[in-house]
Amino acid sequence: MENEKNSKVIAILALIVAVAGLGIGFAAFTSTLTISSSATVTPSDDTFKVVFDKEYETSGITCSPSGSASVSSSGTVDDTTITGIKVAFTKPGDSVTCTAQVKNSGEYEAYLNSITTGNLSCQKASESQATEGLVNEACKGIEATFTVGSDSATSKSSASESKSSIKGHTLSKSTSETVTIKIEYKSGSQQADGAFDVTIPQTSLSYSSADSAS
Amino acid sequence: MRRTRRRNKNQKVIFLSTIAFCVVAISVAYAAFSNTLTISANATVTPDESNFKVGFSTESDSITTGTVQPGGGNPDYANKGTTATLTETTVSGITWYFTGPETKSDAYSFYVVNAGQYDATLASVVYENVKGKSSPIVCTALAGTTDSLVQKVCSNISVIVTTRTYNSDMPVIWTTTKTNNAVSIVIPKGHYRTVEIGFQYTGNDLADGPFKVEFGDINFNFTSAT
Repeated sequence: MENEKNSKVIAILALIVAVAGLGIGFAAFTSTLTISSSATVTPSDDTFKVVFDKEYETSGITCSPSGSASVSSSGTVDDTTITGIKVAFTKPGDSVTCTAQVKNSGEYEAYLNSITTGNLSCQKASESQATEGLVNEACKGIEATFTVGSDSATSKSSASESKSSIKGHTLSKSTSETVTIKIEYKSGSQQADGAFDVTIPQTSLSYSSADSAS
Repeated sequence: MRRTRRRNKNQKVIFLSTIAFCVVAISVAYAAFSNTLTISANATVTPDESNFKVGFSTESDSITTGTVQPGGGNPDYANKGTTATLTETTVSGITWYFTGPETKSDAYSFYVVNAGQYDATLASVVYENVKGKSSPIVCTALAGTTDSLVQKVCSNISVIVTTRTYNSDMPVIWTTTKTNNAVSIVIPKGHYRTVEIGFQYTGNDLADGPFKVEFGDINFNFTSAT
């Protein structure tokens, strides 16, 4: 009986030891699994793409004169520039209005952030006998306004008005919006006594994939 | 049990950090896209010639060309001078016949009309020299006349130009004996001024025969500048 008890005890101890041994062995194994990764983003040219629509009205732009104004050239439209618009006025009240289209052909929503222009200037035309003082006064009546939706900028001979930090002006992907360029010789303006040229500064429309910060 | 829990916590932390890094990286790349579109344009202004239009005229209400009679057509002066020809920019063919000292300030009368869009300022009246000569008046003795006497008389002969300012009847007078002067006489658009050409032979000197008197052109210089 005592031997059986001892045997039992031994057996139990051994079993306990064995079990304890097993338990201890199990708790010492660990491993940490780590996942490391990075990414690069290289958009194609088509990913963010806001451009002038070259196929709008066939040539990309259409101009309409008013009064005794005439359009010498409607200009040339490519993806990111409209160049060479040239108009001719004879008296106050004359104006020319041109329209083009901006389209979002990319993959992101686009936001118009700003319309930036500068001061226009006037100079006597070649071989003109115009009086400089009268040219300067007449120049005050010349304005060029660039409008996109409800946002616009105006170029004048002084104190031109750009539009910056435009918020909430969205151009969704696969949609277009109209840009209007109006060049006018305002009614009631001073007239010069000879021909003069008007130089209108380059005007920029800045679109981004992010809205202007609040 | 505790060890298992610690392992899971470590795994979660690593996974979140990695996700955060990826999201930040993607956000930075997205905000950098932009396109700028530019527009260039120019204009020219070429006023009509009719915008500044000042001219001689036989009528006061519009620029009208024609002829101008000596003495305003008064028959008493029919033989005192020739009929002059008036165009928009010139009056020519004026000849006056003196027989002795006299002054006739309105030998010929006509208008200057401003038919343009600007006020016009008569900035100056300039007596040009007789073509090929060095004086605005040249007297030439005809056959049988003593030249020295002619030249003595010549110094007493002059052309008189008279007009008036817009708001006053006070005449402004230029003569060949006066220095060409700049006087700002304004003719508002749609208005006119009268111009009188007269001749004056002063003093008592006489020549002993006929002689010819030539006058240089008289230029009226208008400007739209004030």
